[in-house]
Amino acid sequence: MTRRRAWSIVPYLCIAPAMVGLGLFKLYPIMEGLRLSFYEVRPIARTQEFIGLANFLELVRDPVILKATWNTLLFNLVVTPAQIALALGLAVLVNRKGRIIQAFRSLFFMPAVISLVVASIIWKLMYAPDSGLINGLLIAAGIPAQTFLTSQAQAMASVMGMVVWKGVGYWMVILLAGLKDIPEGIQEAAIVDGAGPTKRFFAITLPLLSPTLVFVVVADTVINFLLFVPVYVMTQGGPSESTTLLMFEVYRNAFVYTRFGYAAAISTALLLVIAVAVTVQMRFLRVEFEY
Amino acid sequence: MSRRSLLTVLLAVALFVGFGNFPAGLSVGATPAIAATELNFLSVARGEPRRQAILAAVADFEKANPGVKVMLSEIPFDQYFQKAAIALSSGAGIDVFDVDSPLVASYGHQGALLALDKYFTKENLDDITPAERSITSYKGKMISAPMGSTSVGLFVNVDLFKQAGLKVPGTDPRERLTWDQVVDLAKKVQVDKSGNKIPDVWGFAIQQYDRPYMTLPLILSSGAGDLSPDGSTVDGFLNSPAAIGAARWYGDTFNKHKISPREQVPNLFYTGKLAMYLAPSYEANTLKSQYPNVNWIVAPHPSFTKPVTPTGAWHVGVFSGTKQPDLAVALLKAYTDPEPAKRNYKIMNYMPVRISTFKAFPETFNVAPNNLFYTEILQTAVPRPRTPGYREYEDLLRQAFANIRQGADAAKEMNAAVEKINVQLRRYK
Repeated sequence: MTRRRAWSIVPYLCIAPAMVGLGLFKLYPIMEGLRLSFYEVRPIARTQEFIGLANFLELVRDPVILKATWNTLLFNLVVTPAQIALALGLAVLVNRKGRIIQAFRSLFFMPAVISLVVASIIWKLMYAPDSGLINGLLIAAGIPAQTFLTSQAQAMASVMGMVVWKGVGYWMVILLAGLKDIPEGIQEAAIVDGAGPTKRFFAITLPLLSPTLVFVVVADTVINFLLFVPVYVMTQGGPSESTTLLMFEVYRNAFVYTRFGYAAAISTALLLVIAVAVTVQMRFLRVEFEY
Repeated sequence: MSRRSLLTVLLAVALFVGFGNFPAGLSVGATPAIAATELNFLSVARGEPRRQAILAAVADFEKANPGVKVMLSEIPFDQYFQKAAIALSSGAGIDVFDVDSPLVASYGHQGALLALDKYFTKENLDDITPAERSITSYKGKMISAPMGSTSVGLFVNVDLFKQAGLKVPGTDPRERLTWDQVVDLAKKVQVDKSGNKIPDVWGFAIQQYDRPYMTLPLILSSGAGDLSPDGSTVDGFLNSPAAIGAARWYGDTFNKHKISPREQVPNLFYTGKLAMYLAPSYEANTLKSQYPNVNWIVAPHPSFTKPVTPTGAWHVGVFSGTKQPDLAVALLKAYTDPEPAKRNYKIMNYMPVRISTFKAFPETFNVAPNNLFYTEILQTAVPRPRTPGYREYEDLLRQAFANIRQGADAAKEMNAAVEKINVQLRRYK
């Protein structure tokens, strides 16, 4: 082997540990999940019976799963754009110098450092219809008490509100980093050319931020599709399945009903839904240029 | 998009998703060998001082079996069932384990529990209360031994009743209130000084307010059943007119009569903000030890047409795949036999499951409120339905009651629950 050829192996050796880790802890579980989705698994009896597509056929006829699929899509259609729009607005607002601005950055980022479980418990207490903080404030302001998590009409919106609050600060920091990467010279040239703040935002900031935005949109979408904790802690999918999401149904079927094969089938379907959503996003948000 | 970039996207998404926390490791695997001198005991973490009971049982067992070491794993309640399922499915790290009493049939159906019949004498079995003994068997075989039980009564704040000028309910089972009487009393004793429709003193509340442990006695007390005798269906039982009537009564306490808070507010009874509290027997210990200023009595569990009370708590079982069945059963018996049961009661204060324990503490069980709980356990206690699908049954019925509590129509919810539960029960035919 020549010296040059020997050196060419080095990069592969360097990434080998990471690839082995990915294979073991990501790809293998996915393949195993895919395999299990074709089986009826009885974990405690330690038996597996091949049932072909039966889990998938049940999936498309299961009214709870259909409801969870609709809820998951609705959740993503509302939460992801809301989080990104608010995060972008806040990132633009705090993209300047000054101590007070730094304090605001920390304040906005604070929800991101709180455990999601803790945040969900706190919001559940705040949403409590008879003794919660929010209804206390509403009543004090002369506004009737609301039902929040306890009614089908308001439960999903209440969960969405909490999730938007929790995620905005995190995405704000990522977008802020993207804004900092935009060369100041371009903005200055636009000012010299007479462009106002709105024109500069839509003609310069937004297009040049698009590589970061694509990442944020894709990552936020995937995270929101996989959201489980707020539903588990705050509503358990109720009332009347109004807040059940696909990930919660994966949990419920795997760990409450010990139907691991069926849970794996839901996971597989969810993976496909996410893949389609992300493919569509990548197609429409394709970055056409670099700077 | 090219095929290559599409593949890249799919791969990237797959890597990012990683199937969340899907338990792929729960597949079939070989059972690792267990060291001959080690026994694994999987238990619910009970904290101090209750854990001293299991530690004493382990110490007794190790003393009687020199050279055998018990590896005790105490797991928090909310993680326990998942950990037990994983240990049972892998066959590793489990010989003896705590079994929640309504899940005995489920574990039995899956062949996870060793038959114990040959290890228990008739005298030993006759010492167990009838309701609890009925839980221990599945398909004619004894597969678990009870460790502790519970009963439920109506805890009444005497001072709040006196302030409202009301007669305090009696403590004798013959003076048992009807559920309609409870509603009348709750309306009278409830106080809303500020007039903001959020009472300062609530009339009535149920602890564990949507769990079948507490809600099934409402249904059974109305004359309805909870499961067909062959265990195959709940149709005609949970959605019978009587059951729907009981479920509607439950919903009305929150939404029509507004005598119960729709979310569980901790410590309401302890802090004098709740007049009547349907709660398990162990609440008496908490009140005595931590809230001595609350003036309370326990009235019998109210009823519709016939008295029914909840029962059942923790059992202990031996994993059918254990390499050391005799030693594992010896460990189970060191924790559940008549003598350790007396010690368990002294330490844990759970309601006993053995007649001999009740008789050993006359100073406790001849006086209120324990004399009432003892009577209820012997006369009115009905265990939860013994079906392999109990976890599904519980989850789905719980959802129905949660929805009814939030104002959903009782008939619609109970019919929907019946449909869903029957789908799950069909898996166990």
